Amino acid sequence: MLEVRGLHVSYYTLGGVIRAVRGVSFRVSPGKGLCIVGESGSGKTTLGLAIAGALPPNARASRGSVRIDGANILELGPEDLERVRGSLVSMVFQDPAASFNPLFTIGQTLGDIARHKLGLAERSEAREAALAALRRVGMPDPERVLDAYPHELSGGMLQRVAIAAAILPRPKVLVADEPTTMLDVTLQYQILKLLNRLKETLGLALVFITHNLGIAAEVCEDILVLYAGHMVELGPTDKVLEEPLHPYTQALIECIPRIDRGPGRLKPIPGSMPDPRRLPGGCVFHPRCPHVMDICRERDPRPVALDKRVVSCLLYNGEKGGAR
Amino acid sequence: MSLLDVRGLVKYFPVRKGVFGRVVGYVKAVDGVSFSIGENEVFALVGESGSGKTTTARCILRLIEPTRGEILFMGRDVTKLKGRELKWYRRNVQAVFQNPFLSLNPRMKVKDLVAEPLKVYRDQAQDVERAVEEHLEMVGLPREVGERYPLELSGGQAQRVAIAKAIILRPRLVVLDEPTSALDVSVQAQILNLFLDLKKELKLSYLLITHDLSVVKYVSDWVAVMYLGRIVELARTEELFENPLHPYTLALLSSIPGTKKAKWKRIELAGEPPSALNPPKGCRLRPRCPLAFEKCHEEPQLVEYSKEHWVSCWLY
Repeated sequence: MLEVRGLHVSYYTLGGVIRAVRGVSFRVSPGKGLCIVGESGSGKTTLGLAIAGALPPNARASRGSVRIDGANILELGPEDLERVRGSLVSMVFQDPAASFNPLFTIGQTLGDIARHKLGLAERSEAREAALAALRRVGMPDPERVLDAYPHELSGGMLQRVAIAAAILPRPKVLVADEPTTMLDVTLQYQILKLLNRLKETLGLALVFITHNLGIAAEVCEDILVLYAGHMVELGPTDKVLEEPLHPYTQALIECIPRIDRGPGRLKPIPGSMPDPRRLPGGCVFHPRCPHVMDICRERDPRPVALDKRVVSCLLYNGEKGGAR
Repeated sequence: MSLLDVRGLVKYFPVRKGVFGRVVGYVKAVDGVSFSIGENEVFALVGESGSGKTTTARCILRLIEPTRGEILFMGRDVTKLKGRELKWYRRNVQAVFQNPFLSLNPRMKVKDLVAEPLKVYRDQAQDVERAVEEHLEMVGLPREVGERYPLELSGGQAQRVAIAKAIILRPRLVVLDEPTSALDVSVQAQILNLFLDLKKELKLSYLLITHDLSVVKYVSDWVAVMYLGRIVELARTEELFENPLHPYTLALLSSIPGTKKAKWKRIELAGEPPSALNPPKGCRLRPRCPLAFEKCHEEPQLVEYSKEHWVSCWLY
């Protein structure tokens, strides 16, 4: 079980402090998936890195906790963290070509992971474990792939290998950060199906990060919408997509081109993402919100539970509840 | 009459090997593509990476020379233009690319970037400063942006600058190569709306290159679907979405996430696109196509299936 509670993450840069994640809480059970959706600058990747215990040195989780089966990832020292990475939580990144060392064959890379993380000293055992992982991700001709260098494989195949590498140490949580964004659409679908299958057969808690709401609908039971580091809406995927409560979720769904609509104009969200160093006061979305009220400029909305989900919007605080 | 006519366009890239650069084969990036774009029309070329859609655009822009085929712009063969005439062509055919931070010189201010085409073409008839301001306004940027450098802008703003630069010479045709792929969805919607407004206002035609069929649905009048250097289906946009025929088109539509309840036949392709260095004989989709049969070993031609709808598949 993955449990994130009240997480805040900030980057300390020469240009000032960037508060990338501000107060995010959720849970993911084994065999289930949570999709984190947001545009660039929403803090979704930072959140993913925090869960995987892979924040860069200039980032700090100032508040909150990330617990996997009870252990708080944020409190671990470098050695413990090293032990946890891979065997408790793994990550798959957007660009598979950048995830591999080009000088080593796939077999060497996967074999290293097997030796270090599974403690398989024998070369033949490590090779067997690597082969098994490749078979599990449905790789055709895995023996040949083991002897190949990364550049000899296509993007889609390499992403499959990256997933094999991530599940090889048998983690409980898998964080996938935009794993299909660089792939062609016909391959995208194959990777989504694979992640879904692995999640169910291996009992993984899957955290899937994407900017594409349509993809969210395909893989995950729950969806978390982020805006400027804030948790905007969290709930079951079909509920959030079909009857979004938060004005940002509503606007985001409206502005996506859909093949069952058009031709004609789209409904964009006016304005642009706020500068993370100078976030607006009150609700962070208020300058772009079509339902903005006076109070939104002053008060930061707290997440409230409503209709099987959590939403952070003053429209739903007390007397104004249910208004749209 | 159509504005742009592409006839039998072919572009092979030689593959060289060894010390003497011996040609050992050809990448058949574009292999016999024909279509035309009418006045004030939007024509979309859709396909995955390696389909040849960008190579087609680059040939049309004369950034590279086609191996064979004709490109007629207002009746003149573009591939033979030189000097003055080529300049005239470039003035009338502009482009907007995917990544504005790569297409805009980072050392020039926005106002100089937008003014540059006017200076290159020595357009003295116009007050340059005013023209720049007008065009920034047309693309929805405040005047102050003129004083900034591209890297100080957001992706959406930078793309607007690239658009201002492309329209300032009043071209007839603008080639849009994945113009919104690098943008967030909320900004993508703003930019697509801007393209629609400018088309109407300036009577522009667009050649839109994209991998995203849902974008096509909103802005395009015609669509051609490309696979491994060939057009496999070409139709009016409404017609293509109403009645998609080619298995590859169906597969593209099926892979759009969140379309489980769609009315068309859901098709999943096996494997990955083969190399354009050695495309499969016969129909190029055959090795991946779930509907392939004996006849598919022969090469299908693009035939008119119904009014304003062409398809290249033995099923029809």
